[in-house]
Amino acid sequence: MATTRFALTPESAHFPATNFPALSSVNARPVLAFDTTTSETCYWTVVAPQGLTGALSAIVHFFGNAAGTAGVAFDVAVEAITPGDAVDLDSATSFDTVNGGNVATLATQGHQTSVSITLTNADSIAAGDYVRISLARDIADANDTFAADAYVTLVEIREA
Amino acid sequence: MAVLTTQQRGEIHAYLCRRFGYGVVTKADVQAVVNATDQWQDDNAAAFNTALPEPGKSALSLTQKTIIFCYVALKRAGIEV
Repeated sequence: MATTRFALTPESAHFPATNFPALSSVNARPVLAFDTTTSETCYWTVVAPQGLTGALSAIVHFFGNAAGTAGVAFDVAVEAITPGDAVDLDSATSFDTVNGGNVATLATQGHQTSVSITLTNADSIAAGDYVRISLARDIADANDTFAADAYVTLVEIREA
Repeated sequence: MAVLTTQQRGEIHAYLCRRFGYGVVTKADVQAVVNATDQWQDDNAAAFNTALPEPGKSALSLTQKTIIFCYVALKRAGIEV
């Protein structure tokens, strides 16, 4: 049975110095507004929960800031650091290779859809690790054709 | 006056997609419309200026005439300015 490991909300995200999605509100719902022409990234920090053993997937919930059906592509990457790892947190990152997925927006503006992205590259995550999860809209992906912002409402990290 | 550069056309595309959003066509479709609009304006700039009456044609600056052009176009499309 699948288990929800994390529910990553817009307000718990943190951001790089440049090219990050705007933290906004739509109908009193917090959203991360991912632009269609600028690659924007945000992060969440979590601890890998005890009992974590299975494969993970990220389910990105979003809706489009315009009516119409077109594709939106996202990249999710995982950085898992075990105490004692030789990663200089002062100056380096160690994200694993990105995992990508895409789905079409729904025709009606405001209707939410989701894309499930299998985290094949999960940086050998293990229980107790310090973990960062990055989310970016892959505007260069040929499947990313939606000509408006994608409003991300939630990201679920699910264990298969 | 030459057409805009690819960079400038891209900046227009980026702004319009973020500001307004176009869900019924793709990003590439919007860029194509931006490019064609720029090309049409370049092709027809002289004809537009020729159509203007004096003394406005000679006395008004390029900026002033461009703003008039845009305001008339917006009003014709029912967009309040």
